[in-house]
Amino acid sequence: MTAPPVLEVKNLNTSFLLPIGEVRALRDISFDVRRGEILGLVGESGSGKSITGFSINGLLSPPGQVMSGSIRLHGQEITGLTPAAMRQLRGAKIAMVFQDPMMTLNPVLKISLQMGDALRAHARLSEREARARSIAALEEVGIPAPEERLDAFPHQLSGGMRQRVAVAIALLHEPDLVIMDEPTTALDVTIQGQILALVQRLCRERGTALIWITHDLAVVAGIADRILVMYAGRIVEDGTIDELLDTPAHPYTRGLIDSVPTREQRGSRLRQIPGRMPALTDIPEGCTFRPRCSFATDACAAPQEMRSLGTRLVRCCHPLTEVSA
Amino acid sequence: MSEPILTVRHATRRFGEGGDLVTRVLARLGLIRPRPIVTAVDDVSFELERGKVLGIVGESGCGKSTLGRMIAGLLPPSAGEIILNTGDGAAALPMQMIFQDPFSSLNPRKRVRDLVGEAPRVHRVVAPAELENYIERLMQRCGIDPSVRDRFAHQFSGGQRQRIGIARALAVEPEILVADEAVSALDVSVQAQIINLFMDLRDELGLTYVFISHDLGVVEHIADTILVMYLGRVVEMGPAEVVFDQPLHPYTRALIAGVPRLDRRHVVYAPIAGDIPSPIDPPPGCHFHPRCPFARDRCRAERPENRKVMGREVACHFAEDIASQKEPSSWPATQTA
Ligand SMILES: Nc1ncnc2c1ncn2[C@@H]1O[C@H](COP(=O)(O)OP(=O)(O)OP(=O)(O)O)[C@@H](O)[C@H]1O
Ligand SMILES: Nc1ncnc2c1ncn2[C@@H]1O[C@H](COP(=O)(O)OP(=O)(O)OP(=O)(O)O)[C@@H](O)[C@H]1O
Ligand SMILES: [Mg+2]
Ligand SMILES: [Mg+2]
Repeated sequence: MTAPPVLEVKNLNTSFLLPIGEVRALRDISFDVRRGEILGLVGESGSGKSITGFSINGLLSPPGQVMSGSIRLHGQEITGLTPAAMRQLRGAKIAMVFQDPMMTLNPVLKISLQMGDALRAHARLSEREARARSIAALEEVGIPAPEERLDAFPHQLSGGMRQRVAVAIALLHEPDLVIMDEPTTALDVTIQGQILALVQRLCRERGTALIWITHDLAVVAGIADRILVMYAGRIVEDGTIDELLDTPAHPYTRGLIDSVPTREQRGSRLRQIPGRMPALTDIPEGCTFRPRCSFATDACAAPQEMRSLGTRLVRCCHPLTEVSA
Repeated sequence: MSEPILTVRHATRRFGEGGDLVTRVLARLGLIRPRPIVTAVDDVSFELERGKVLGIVGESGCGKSTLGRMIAGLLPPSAGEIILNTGDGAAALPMQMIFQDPFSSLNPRKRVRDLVGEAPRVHRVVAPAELENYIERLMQRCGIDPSVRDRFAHQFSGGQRQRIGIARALAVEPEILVADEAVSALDVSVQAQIINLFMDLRDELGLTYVFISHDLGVVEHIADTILVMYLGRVVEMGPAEVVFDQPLHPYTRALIAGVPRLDRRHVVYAPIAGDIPSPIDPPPGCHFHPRCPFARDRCRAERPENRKVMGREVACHFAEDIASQKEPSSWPATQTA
């Protein structure tokens, strides 16, 4: 009965080995995603959200590389797979919607050709079948007049249409694991709702496991079951939506939530966390958030382990839930 | 002072017109499929005063970027005119645009110092001896660690590239800035930092903004005037607080009602009710009628003109009638909780 999670990441470390030194993009990342689960991945810009997706997908290229750690899909290790084996998985079992839709789309090919190729990479289909399935897929992501749009080149579409085409391509083969990196940044809320409805249905009905990378906490609040918060290459908090948003335990999480603009503040200065994330080449010992944290004490200079607080995990030696309780 | 810095009159932009003679003749004879014509921007007019922020929102694909590119002078209008009335020529490049796509708008083989510093060097915005300091200060204000100034654009995350694009646009000290989804890849704290920076520059230098965004929370925060587009047309335009406090156009209402909020958890989303109209073959009458819960016969036949209603302009035949009506509960405009 207890099937392994769809994805298990353990102690993942990823670096870029630049001439000037090692950029430690990911440090000690561990998490699971189960069947049908929607996991929200949020965090500071540059904290490693996209690189987490790239590492899982086997799409890092030198000088980037997974230094250590394990990534299992349905219990099977995939870090050591050959590029050919990885290509077999990608598109069929794992799919990713890139933050930049042009990573999926080739600028010089019509959408029809690109979708047809993506379809035939993992299924035997005639020209006509491929076209029919492409049209249906575009319709599902809310692209009007999909037949005409199939004959367009990517630059003839708006930013949000390119995003939706990338989403449609990722979902063509109903993969077991989908990683979506900021997939709705160019969509208005009504079209965004269409995409959210689509992925929710896939997760609930087909058991697709979904990692939704975003800066939009409110969207995550609406669809995710669980949230991971990243800061400077590490997971600093991991918990269910309600506990994490209502009673954030890590000071960074709290700072993020407090920075969401509210209607009352119209026109006034927005709250922001003071300071800036450290460069990932020389990461200070101890808690990386310490220089910006208004709760920091001497104890924060020591290395911070993940601590469990009931059902959640937090990398902070004085979690806010304990201070205030 | 009230002289507008930007005047847009009946600006229209169509794509897919023309083509070479042979294609047009073959299409006319019905031998090949005609290239679809898209009216991306359809008769848009407005004025913008110096030092003000115009927020443009609207459906994905409704023509926001096209309008932004026309304002920035990167794309000629098919009809209508766009008049820029910048100051006495103090700024070498009075108009700057921050592009929606931070990935393709930065040359990946250039170092940050050149991306940000090239234009101010060429246009003598700062003395050569001060350039290094100037770049460093800009990077700092945009939240990029100056120690990375020698890295290449492709070595940065999406949000970091977006900030490099912002620093590059600000580096030439423009008078008017078209920001197309300029903060969409930033986490809320960094986003707050950039928005605060934009507001500081408006107060210090009188910088004017055309701020295109799908994020209504941000637009509501910074815009003085808001312009809502649907399928190429302006459907509602007016002072931000008037429109946000009581949106009248059914599309604006759906937008504002659908804004995700931190306290809306475990939402069950529903697909869009009604057909999503296409800009290739837009429906007659009001473009929004296939999705509108209040649509009547007149909406299917007659194009609504922009009218002054309750302190703003709105293009809806029944704006007054429906102002106090609620959407029928059977109509999941965006989502159901
Ligand atoms: N090719 C590269 N060479 C060196 N450093 C890199 C490279 N690609 C990414 N990085 C660094 O790795 C870190 C993590 O990047 P990543 O793209 O995962 O951030 P992110 O969390 O997705 O941010 P954003 O929200 O801005 O997209 C960043 O600080 C970035 O500067
Ligand atoms: N070069 C082009 N050739 C043909 N059609 C184009 C071209 N550029 C834009 N379009 C069309 O014009 C319409 C408006 O596009 P635009 O990029 O302005 O939309 P947008 O409002 O910025 O959307 P988004 O929010 O998704 O970025 C779309 O239907 C698009 O397909
Ligand atoms: Mg990213
Ligand atoms: Mg756009």
